[in-house]
Amino acid sequence: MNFFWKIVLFFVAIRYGFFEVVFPRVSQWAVNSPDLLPAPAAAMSMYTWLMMVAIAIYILSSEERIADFMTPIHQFLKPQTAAAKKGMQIVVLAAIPLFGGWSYFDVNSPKMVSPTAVRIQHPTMPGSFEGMKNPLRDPTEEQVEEFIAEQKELAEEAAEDEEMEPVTVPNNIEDGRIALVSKWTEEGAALYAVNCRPCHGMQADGVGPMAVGWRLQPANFRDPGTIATIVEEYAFWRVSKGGPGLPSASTPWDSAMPIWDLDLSENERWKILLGEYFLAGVGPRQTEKLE
Amino acid sequence: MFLSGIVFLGGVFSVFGAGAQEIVDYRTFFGFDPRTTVWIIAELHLMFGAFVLGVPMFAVTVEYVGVLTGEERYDRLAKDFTRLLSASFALTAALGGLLTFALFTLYPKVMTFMSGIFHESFYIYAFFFFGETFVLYFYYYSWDRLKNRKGIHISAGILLNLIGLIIMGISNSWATYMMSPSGIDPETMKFTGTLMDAIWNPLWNPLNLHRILGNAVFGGYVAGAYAAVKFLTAQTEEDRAHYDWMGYVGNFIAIVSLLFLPFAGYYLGREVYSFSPVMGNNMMGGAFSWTFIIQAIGIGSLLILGNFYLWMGMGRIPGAERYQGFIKFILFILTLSFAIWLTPHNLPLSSGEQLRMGGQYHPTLKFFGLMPAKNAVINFMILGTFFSFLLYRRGNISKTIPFSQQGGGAKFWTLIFTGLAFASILWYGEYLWNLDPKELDLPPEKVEFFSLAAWCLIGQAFFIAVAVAFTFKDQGKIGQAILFTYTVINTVFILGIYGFVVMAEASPFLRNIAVAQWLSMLSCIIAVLTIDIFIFRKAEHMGAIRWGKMSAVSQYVLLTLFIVSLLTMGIMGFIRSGLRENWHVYGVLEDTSDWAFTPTNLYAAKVIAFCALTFILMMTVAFWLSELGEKKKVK
Repeated sequence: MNFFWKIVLFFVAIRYGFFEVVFPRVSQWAVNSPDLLPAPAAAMSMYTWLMMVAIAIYILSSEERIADFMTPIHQFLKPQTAAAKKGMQIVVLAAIPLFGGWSYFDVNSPKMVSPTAVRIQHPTMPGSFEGMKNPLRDPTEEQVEEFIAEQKELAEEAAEDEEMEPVTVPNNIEDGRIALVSKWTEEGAALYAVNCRPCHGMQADGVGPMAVGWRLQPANFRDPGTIATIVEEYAFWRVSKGGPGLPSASTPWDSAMPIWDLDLSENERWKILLGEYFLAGVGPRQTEKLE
Repeated sequence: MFLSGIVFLGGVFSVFGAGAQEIVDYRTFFGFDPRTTVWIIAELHLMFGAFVLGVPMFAVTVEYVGVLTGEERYDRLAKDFTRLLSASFALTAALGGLLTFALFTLYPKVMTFMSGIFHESFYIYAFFFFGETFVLYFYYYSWDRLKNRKGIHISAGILLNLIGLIIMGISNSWATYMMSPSGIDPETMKFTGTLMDAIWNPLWNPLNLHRILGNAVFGGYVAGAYAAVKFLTAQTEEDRAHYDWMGYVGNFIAIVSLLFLPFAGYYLGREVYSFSPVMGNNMMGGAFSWTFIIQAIGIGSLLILGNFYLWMGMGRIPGAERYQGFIKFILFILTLSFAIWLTPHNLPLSSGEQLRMGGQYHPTLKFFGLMPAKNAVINFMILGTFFSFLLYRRGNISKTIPFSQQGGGAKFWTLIFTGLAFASILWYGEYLWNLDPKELDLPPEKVEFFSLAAWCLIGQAFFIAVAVAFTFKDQGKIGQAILFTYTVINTVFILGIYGFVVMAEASPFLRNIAVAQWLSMLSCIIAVLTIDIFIFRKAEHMGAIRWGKMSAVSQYVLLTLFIVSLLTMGIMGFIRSGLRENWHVYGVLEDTSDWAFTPTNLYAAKVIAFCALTFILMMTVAFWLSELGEKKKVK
């Protein structure tokens, strides 16, 4: 096989063999999906163009390869005497403009397909949210002392009431702080179970019982590319303002997220975030220190 | 005609001068959008500035190489570069003056604010600009006079670079202060600091570093493009050979600087995140995420085209055909890495595709859009480019002299350079080993994520030692292969994949992973290159490089490299400046004009393309003018 056909075969094998046959199956197997998972058209177009550029670079980077590639083309374009070869020449030379015309028509003719939309991953957050901190991650000393006092009262009640489970009283402020955050996290998980679980799932993996009802699957918080990559005030903004609160600059954005600040207090929303990150097994992005 | 001109101007001034007494916050440029006006002038000033600051760096280096080697062609090359410099210096200054007028007249409120903080620095800037002018012209015009006193001449070149860096540093402080203001009282949002507080703002040094390297890259590409035009129009074999070589040197300098640039960009980006996570999110995942994909295409194109040029250059090296077989593998790695490099986390999707995938993210391709994947592949591309360069270097080498017979100097310098690489790797490995999670605001249990990176660096140091040991046993090539293979496994596959774990579990540590990857890659380049220099020293050659025997395609590649670098610079500038959103000074001075919105990528592309085209035209005229003088001398 000459160099020209090797190049053509390579292109066909990668473009159609790998991307159309192998890749969807490998993706399906990798994430255990019931359906084949082909690369989206935008990615395919990007990879195809890149591959064509790479092939052109490979051919053009050596005089020998240019000659090897062009020789069969030159030979084919020479005037032919044999009828079969002449016929083939006519067919190919006619097919090239026809293919070009058909491609142009195919791209530009009206079709009943949904448009491809460019989506921004993290819409621009209003400045009023920047710098907010989750107050429940670092309770004040007064809050901790109050909590310890409550625990002591409960412990005394539990000592008298046999039906109550024993209550642990923190020994010092530090233990108290950890226990209080843990309590708020549990409360947050409970609030999450009531308000968020139907869509985002109890494991925070985006497959709650209502998830299948949405055209776009709710966010999987266990995915390291979602809530782990954003600072907590960003997540707070998303929970508070939901899909309708997204700025117009961020459209198109498909989100069925409700506006939770209509139904939940600020404290409850921060608690939900504690529970959400805990259930997802990730932490919010830390504000990094300047070098 | 003169009088009618005055009458016309008088008419124009009388129309547009109406309302000149008003105190306003913003003005338009003869009715035209003031933001785009300032954008275009600033961009052009920056493009010329980058060239004027970038070229002296390697003009002096090339001149010094000429002194060391005693080869006349280096001196000619350095002088050629400097001639281009003197022609464009006046244009840089003129554009700087125009920019000042534009800023003070179109944005009086902003400039009142800025001059309130930086007024002293304006005079220091002007003082150094005078210095730059004197030293530059002294450096250029004393070239022949100081031919036999190269020490003085090179010192002038070094002084020129130092002054240039100071000038750049001062103007960078203004630009970065607008992004990350410091010395601000958080209660009143008023500036209460000193001039030094304002200059030394959080993004100042990251931008300084990024621009120094960027200028060197840009200067290299401009010189390469100039050489390409001269090559294509050359009338003699001698000229063709000289400009072919000049193009090669320009591209070489650009590529060497480009190897460091992604890391400097990463440092700047991380500091943007550190200053404001929201600004960081807007940059990489928000409003500018698609613009970043465009600039990723620019960077990837520079690396691939740089390799393309080197491979074509192998055609003029007798014996290099032995290494042609490697090209397809390098190209495969570069293309694969480039594909990952430009894949966004959020792909453009139709509703049908969203339904099929059950969400916005492709279940497997989504990983390519995250930072650990980008860090892994950029290191892979740099290592691939370095491998191409190694093949180019040894293209015409035949019989070598064993390292053991290379003399004491070779052994000494091998130990010094590889020792430096070894020590820097161990130093950072030790730092990671003892890193306190508190330093990164991480809980104590996250310390478990630090040890793997430390072990990888210890492994890197070990394999540097192995490579050196093999070299001393006259098996340098095997040593190089072992070190190179380990570096690829370490930086791309181990630390690259581990980055995903770190991102999810201890995200602030991701920057340390990136540093570990970069240091491993750099230590490999230093060690392998040092060994390469000495194992091939005094080797026999299969023939001299046939300078001038290059295809025209290669010269168009040089021109494309220049244009891509120009556009990439424009796009990055748009992102950096646009990150301030509706703030002149982020969080302090709000933009209340009609233009306080982020332009679309399409609009930005048009403005940047216009700037690029204008720059090319102005540069062409400047070079043509400089040629006039030369031609006269020749006659």
